[in-house]
Amino acid sequence: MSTETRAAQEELRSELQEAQAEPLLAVEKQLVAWSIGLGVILLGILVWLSYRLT
Amino acid sequence: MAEERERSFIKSEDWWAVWIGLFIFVLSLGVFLKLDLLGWAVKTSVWINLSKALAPASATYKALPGVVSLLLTYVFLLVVMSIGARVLGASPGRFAAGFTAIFWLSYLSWILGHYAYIAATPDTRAKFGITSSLSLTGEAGFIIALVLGLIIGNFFTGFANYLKEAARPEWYIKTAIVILGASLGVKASQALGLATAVMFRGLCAIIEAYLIYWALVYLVARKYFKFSKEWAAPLASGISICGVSAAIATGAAIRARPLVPIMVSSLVIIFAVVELLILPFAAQAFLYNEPMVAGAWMGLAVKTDGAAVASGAITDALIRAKALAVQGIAYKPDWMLMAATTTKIFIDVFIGIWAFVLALIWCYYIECKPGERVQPIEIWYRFPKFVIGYFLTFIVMLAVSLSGPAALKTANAAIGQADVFRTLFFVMTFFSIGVISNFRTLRQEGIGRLAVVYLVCLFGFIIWIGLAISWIFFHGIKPPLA
Repeated sequence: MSTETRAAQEELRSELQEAQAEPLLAVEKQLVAWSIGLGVILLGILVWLSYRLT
Repeated sequence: MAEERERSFIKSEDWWAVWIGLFIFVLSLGVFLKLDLLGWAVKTSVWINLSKALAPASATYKALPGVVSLLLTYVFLLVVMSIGARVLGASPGRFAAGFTAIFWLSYLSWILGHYAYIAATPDTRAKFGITSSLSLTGEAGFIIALVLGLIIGNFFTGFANYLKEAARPEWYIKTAIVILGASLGVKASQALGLATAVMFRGLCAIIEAYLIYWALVYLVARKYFKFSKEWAAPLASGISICGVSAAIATGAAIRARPLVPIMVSSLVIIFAVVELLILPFAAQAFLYNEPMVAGAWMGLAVKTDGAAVASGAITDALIRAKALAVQGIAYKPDWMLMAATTTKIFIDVFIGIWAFVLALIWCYYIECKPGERVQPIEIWYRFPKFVIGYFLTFIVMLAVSLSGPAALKTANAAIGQADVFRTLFFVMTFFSIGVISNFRTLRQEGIGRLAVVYLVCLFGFIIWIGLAISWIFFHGIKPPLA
């Protein structure tokens, strides 16, 4: 491993230990909500399709 | 540079998995022209007398001693893989030396796993003159290879470093998967309805997994473990989708610093090994009545290609052995493996699309670097090329096998020979996974928080949601009987 890579890794590790929390943005909350919501809705549709078609 | 390499037909590991897999596949098709081009390769049988363990794969070469067959197999693979490694930029000498050690240690594990007291199932014990055995089938060799690799990787780190140039589990498993496509194509021809069901239901399961898994892990990482967006997105992809590839693709999509997904990837590998050691045995204990659920579960829950397909292979062998012992049911081999491989492959296929979606969201709604544009061609760049090889061999052998009984018989002979190499690539995958999995990674400062969120998400809900999704889509479906 190069000296630069080692230094970069050390910097990232310190960052992991010391990082302050960033609040969730509205768009992130929407991404999570839409994704889970779509997943749950599709679950019903896909289950019905898979048992009907196969 | 790394991205250019991944895009190249010649300099990417994915494409070399396709070239080598297709090369072996094409050689196996020689039987259709009455040319036995691979029958000299070594086939390993369950043994009580070691002299009977090795033999050429084809009766055409029956005069060839098993040891010579094994030596020829080693030389063939050494030459073929060394050519690929050289083009991929590996040091030829180091690769050859490392590959030699990996081949022989893997094969030693494989042959040990076939010892009758370890491998023989109840219906075959009498043949070997024994009254008890562990009934693990010859696939016990995979676990032995993994454990041996882990011992080397964690306690003989100098030797592990020596092997590193050739310890490439993802390359080996992708090559194996290309060859596996042929075998599954022949099997699918004999149960077309079931094969279609496995494909379609696998696809459904993946859609669910992506939408639910990723969002939940991202939320947990951001809200409860206080990770930044830059860390949470690759972590979510690595934990929930496909480990190394997904973490790296996501990191690139959101323009994270390159080392972020690499640190995530190191955890992915460690946890995949833990899953590989636990989940197949758990599946055997609790899911032998639902074998296809077990297979799909491995594909959904285990987070690298190597470990997921390896888990599928072990689960296939363990559940067949238990179903035979407890219920007297003999399932045809490789259907659970098909379920695991299909779900994992569909996961891989969608990585590119998911990375593209994340890139769009990041660029247009979260943060966009000046001059940055998101291009649809990224989907192709991220597409796992070895999947092309898999579907090609699958479709060719499916079409050939459906053309008539005579073609089906010859196709079975062809895959019998190609599968010798597929198995060897599998064993080397198991061994290599062990070699590269250094559990000391978990003790590195700063990695602890990453490891905790990984542990909480993977064992807290990923594995169980994966089981639930597998159950929903696959329960009641059974492999054909042997």
